[in-house]
Amino acid sequence: MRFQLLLIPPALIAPAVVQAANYLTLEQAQQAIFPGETFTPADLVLGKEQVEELLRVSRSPVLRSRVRAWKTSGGGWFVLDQVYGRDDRITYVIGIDASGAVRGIEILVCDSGYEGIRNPRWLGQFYGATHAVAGAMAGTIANISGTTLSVEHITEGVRRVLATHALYLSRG
Amino acid sequence: MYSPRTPCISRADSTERARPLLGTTVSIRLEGLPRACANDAIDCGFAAVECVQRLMSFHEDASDVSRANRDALARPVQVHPQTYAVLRQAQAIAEESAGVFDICVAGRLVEWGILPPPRAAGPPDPGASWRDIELGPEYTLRFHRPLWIDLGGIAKGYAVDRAIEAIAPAGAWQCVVNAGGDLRVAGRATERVLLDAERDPGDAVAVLEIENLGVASSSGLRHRRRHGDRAAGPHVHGRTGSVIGARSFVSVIAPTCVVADALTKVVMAQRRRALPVLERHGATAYWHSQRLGWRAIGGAAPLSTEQMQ
Repeated sequence: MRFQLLLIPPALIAPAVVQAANYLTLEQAQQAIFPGETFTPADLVLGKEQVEELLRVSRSPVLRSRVRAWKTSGGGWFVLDQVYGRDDRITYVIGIDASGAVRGIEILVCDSGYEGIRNPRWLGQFYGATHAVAGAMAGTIANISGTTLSVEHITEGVRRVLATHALYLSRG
Repeated sequence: MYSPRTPCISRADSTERARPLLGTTVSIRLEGLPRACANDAIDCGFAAVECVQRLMSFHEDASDVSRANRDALARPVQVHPQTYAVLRQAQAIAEESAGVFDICVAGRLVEWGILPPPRAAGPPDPGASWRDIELGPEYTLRFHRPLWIDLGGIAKGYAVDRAIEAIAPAGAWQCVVNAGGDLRVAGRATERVLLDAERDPGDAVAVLEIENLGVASSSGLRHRRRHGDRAAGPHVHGRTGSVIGARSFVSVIAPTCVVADALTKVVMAQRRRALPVLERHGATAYWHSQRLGWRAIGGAAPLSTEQMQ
């Protein structure tokens, strides 16, 4: 157990730009939720009436008319979705099994202000600054403490995707 | 449950996944395991977090917390050993902090609109405190006055610890579980953690380097609100019932995340006076305000604050 706090002058840190925390790729998420299965694209374009019905049933905003979905070889569905919070944008997937139950939810990308620190290019600027800092900070700052992102909008998104599945995908 | 496979250690393999849990984003990163092994282990970690969420959510009617809030005044309520362990820890810290940390502040949080009122539970007595909770035999608890408990100030840290424990048998080289900023690191490498305090553009950026420790941070800054003519926020002083941390940011480093999580509230309320509680748990705190900058409190573990110019 060892720790120390480093206070880094902001001049050595590039302005925080909107960057992404990448967790899984789409293919990795498919295999994490439905290991060994194959995926057939089955996108759905919602008509005006369907958007209204979905809004009414799910009580969640419908941001796009195109639903990015895949049918799995085991009879499940895999849906890619994106939601927006006040300071962030979250891209995530939901796996729904053949019985309509949620098999898994995985966040693929989380874009928010400070996440730029994960980016190797951001660190590249850091290394050039002074040798002492470069030595102390070799590696990446992969963790953030203090930013509690609310996931209320993911809850809404999940409700909308489940309603989309119940109303259209499972009947397709 | 997870069954360990043939160990295959290599530094290059890193797998990180995130899920919406505990009202925030919970991420788990493992290094040194092939992806399939890592996925199995991460699933075990998420399952441990989901279990804590199911048991200790204030929002879910079937949770131990909701059942206690409904029935523990009338009769002893039996809870899961994990819930009981968190209650014991919460009560110990309440006692050590002379009630500054108190899981009975839920009534105030409901009044301020931060938590929804629990269903089918009678109104709490505003004078009730942690002293009115009795932990009995066989994982039972009982209330001696009408009160509502909320484990929101401690359960996230506990969930992180359980996830670390669930992942350990997989033998990852390095493991980090982060539940919305309450995190724990286990393994051989040093992790860097940005302490995301609000700061002016010219202020230093705080980066913590840790090995095998838990870290939790709390701040009321981004959640400040008004309730009538009083300030309100997610952190409440257990004795005075007033909001704490409205202008400060606190990070606590401790051997476990559950302790770090709970002690952030004690430090927010008491600053340097929290030192005896911190020392008792081998914890150290970093306190920040925009006016005063960073201050270190305690240091049972070696402490080295560097100002690099």
